Amino acid sequence: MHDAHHAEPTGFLSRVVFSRDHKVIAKQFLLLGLLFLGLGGILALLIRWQLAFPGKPVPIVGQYLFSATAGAISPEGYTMLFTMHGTIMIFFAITPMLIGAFGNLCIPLMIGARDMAFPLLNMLSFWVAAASGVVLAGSFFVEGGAAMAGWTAYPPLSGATATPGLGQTLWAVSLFLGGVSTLMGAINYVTTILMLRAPGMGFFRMPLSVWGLGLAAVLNILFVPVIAAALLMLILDRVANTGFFVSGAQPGSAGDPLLFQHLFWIFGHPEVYILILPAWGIVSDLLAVFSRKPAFGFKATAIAMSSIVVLSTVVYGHHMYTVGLSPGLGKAFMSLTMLISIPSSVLFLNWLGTIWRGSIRLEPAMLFALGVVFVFGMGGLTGLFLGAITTDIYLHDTAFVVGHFHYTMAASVLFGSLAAIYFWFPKMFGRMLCPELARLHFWFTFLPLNLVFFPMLIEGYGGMPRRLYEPTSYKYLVQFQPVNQLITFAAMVLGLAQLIFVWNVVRSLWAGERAPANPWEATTLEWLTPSPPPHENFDVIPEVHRGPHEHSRPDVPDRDWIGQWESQAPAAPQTPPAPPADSEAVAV
Amino acid sequence: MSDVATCEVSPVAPAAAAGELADVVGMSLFLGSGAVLFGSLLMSYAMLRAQQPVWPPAGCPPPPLLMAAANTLVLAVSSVSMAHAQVLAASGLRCVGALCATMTLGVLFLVLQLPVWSALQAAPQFGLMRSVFLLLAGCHALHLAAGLGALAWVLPGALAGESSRHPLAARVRLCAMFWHFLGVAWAALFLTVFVF
Amino acid sequence: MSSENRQSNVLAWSLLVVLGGGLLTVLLSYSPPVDISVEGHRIDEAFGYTTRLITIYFAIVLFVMGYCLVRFRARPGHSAEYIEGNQPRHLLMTGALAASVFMLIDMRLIATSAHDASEIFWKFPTGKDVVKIQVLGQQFEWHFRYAGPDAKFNTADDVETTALLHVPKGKPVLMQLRSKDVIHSLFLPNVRLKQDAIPGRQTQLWFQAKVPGDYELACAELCGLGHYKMRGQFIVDEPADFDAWIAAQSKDAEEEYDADDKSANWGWDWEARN
Ligand code: HEM
Ligand SMILES: [Cu+2]
Ligand SMILES: [Cu+2]
Repeated sequence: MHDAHHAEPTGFLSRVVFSRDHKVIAKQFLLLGLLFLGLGGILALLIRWQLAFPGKPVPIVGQYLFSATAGAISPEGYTMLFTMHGTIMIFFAITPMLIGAFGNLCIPLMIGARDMAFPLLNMLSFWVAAASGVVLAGSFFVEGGAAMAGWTAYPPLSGATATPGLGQTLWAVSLFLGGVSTLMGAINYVTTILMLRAPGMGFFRMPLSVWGLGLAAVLNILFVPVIAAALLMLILDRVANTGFFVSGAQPGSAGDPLLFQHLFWIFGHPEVYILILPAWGIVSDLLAVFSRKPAFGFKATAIAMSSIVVLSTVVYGHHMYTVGLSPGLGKAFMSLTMLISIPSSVLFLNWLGTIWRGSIRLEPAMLFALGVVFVFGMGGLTGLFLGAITTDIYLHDTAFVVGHFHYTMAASVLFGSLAAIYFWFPKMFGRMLCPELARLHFWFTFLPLNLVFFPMLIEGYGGMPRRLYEPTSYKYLVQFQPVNQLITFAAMVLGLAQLIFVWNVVRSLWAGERAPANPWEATTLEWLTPSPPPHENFDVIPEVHRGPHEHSRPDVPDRDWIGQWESQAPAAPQTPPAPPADSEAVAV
Repeated sequence: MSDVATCEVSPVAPAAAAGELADVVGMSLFLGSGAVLFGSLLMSYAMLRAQQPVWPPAGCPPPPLLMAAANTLVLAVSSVSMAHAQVLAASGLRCVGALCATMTLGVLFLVLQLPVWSALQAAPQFGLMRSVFLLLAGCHALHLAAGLGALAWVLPGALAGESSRHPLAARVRLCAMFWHFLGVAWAALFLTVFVF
Repeated sequence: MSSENRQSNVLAWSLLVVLGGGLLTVLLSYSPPVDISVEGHRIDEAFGYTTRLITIYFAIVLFVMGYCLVRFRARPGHSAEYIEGNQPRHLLMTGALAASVFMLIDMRLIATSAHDASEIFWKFPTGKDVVKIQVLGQQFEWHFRYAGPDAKFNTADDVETTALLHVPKGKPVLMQLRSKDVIHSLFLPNVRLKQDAIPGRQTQLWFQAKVPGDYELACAELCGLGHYKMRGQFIVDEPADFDAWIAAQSKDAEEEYDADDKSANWGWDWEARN
């Protein structure tokens, strides 16, 4: 299982489909995530259509998707749309992209390993994720349609009485499978980081991306089982007539609907950090690379991320201020929640410290990393209102929450993923993306994105409940219809702008310029390997001599970086070891 | 690639040892998350039970303590034989017998669960009790079945003697870790559901 | 070439600022529904000053970022300075800044919010002049029940309404909430409060209205396909009007009372804790 070397497999199936090579699995996860991102995005646009023009037939696609209602979205359809949009985006778009794809790509390469500790498990992790994606996507087509209880699936609404269809059961099964896949990945990541670091790669020499991914994996190992327990009970309630979440007031049962909420958020709060931690790590690394400086306060950043991991386990109650918590408990959860802003501030200060007095190269990946600083600032700061009891009582379950978590999850995590793609695409595929198209993509994503999510904050403060089929059913919300239309228009622009990205990727895969080994003049170990790296990554496991962002050292002459693998600055200036002209030749 | 296989550590022995250590680390992480799973289930049970005015719920007979105790005993003995197998394998001796004994006891455990199940199903008011048992014992039984599968996976190796690629002792150790974990999980379950 | 570039850059940015500023002004002109409660201003104030503080904080962050992007952009002749930021003085500086942000923004919010939660919003009124109302959430309607002249719930003179909440001005109103089927959440935007109604549990909500008028109430928690229809009218009366309304309704109710109709008599004993 762990022999030092494997011969590279040669068959198509074992090389491309059932590959155990972490780089191939990373590509598979990336594809999975992008496909679901597209699907989730289309669902989002349909939701937006209904909110802007309630009851009006959806142009073009409506007649096919909603033929029974003459192209208009029914309440059922709408409920399915937002339930599936939320579920897909969180568990099947963002998670596979950041954790699945970049976890797989970066961890072994950045710590100087040939592969993951358990390549077979890694392969299984992808295929279980794919299976769970198929189950979820398939649930659209069963009788009664897909799940309809929101992505939080609170019982009794998600129970068999209120939502009888098969779709809701498949939803739970799919999430359970997704959890199994995530767990397999996480065990692999942590073991790999603990056991397979190259000689000299101490924990404080690991790039912050690896810190973020590793901490996220630790949280996954601890908290995925909690949601698994909740889902097991939900599934049993639905199919085996148990009554865990059916209230005791009903005959024959003695369950408690709130039990599910506790379990869901014990997992759910760490989950949002699971998603954002890798993005933080990646942003910290990228800011350093493109400012040509060490990441300011590297250790403080790593420690701040770790302390957020610890804090994130004890704050989940802030999602439940309106269920009737005792004041003491409410205040405890509030204070713990607010403590998170200390390490978060440290992250921001360190990011600013990194670009301060740098020599900033505004490559596309850098634009997206800076974009994360902006959107995560918006998301984090609006979170204050939701962490404090009294303001949350008013804002809970309104569009304000939707705006807030889209800024943190949809915007920050998505930008983190996009930054990662622009940064590591050359390494992954051996081709450069077109930077002009990438810049265009950035601006046409960044600006509309704010036009989508900022107005949601305003609507929420105006008292607009979320998950509302027809906002105009309330008189006091009619005034927001122009805002809703603005959001929808911006969302369409946002959606269309992603075609720039798709085109850029597709074009580059075929006709992109060949990528050199180290196009960004970065210092971490993955840039030592040719692009794309060969099977098993390194001919010789490199020895690590220094921290991950040694840029602009005064004692290094002639160039503003020195790789972690270099024992001393090379005498001859510039150019990293040239990759073989045709890097594929190495692999064969 | 094999011509460049000049890893600074000389092949097989140390690399294999590192691999075995990684296996142990991976298994420990897995068991850690398993502990969280059973912990969450037990905690849920505790929360539901705490909301009941009386326990067991009115009309529900007390859970069959004796039968469950027999179950516990069987599992405890199986843990001993598992540990024995591990010691034997570690010193390069034949461990087929001990493994088979463990598996037999494991199967016996599952069979002995049946009367406990039917006793609970027969209770007139089995609402919460039935749910809890279905969940906790069901989940445990599934894991135990997986444990049996793992033992079946090492059995051929044990029959054939040492295999150089996958040292038998390492695999038996992994199985033993999992098996003892199942024992501990059952003990927690037994104590909370049947004793207290 | 470069000056042209610069010009179009400046143009693009000014366009952005003007458009963005205009849009922001329009958006910020929206305000929440009018606050008609005695205590609701506390939530508005907490929201207001936190917004002001974080706006300043974020503006500083963005300013520094913008400054760096202009001043420290890579160009011939400019190079980065090697600063690791791991020295004690750096850590001290970051720590001190983070702590002071926490003390300036968070601590104040925690303090007011903790006080308001435990001393105001979650401290339920007692006494004779408290108006008691029982609330039952049900897919997809809110039901309200008043004890009527006998001050006892679930009796013949109870006043029961659907999707209509009457309260008197100037008196504390205390509600007990339960749910018949799934979780709902009673949302009164005009008093800035909401409270879940959960099957198998009883929750509480109180407020005191001060401006008579006709407002709306909502369900904030997804409760099924008709969630969006779970709207109600929320009327604040002058006390005399309220008493008259209760008296009239109660008389009608007594005439229509049917002790055997279990589903109509969904009320409970006020003291019951479920
Ligand atoms: C980029 C374009 C996106 C748009 C325009 C968009 C829009 C929306 C809208 C309109 C809703 C419904 C809110 C409501 O019902 O009141 C929603 C819900 C949601 N979105 Fe997005 N979204 C986008 C991307 C994302 C991404 C990337 C994520 C992933 C993390 C995400 C996660 C969610 C979640 C979790 C919900 C809640 C679903 C629920 O209420 O059960 N969204 N989104
Ligand atoms: Cu949270
Ligand atoms: Cu509702």
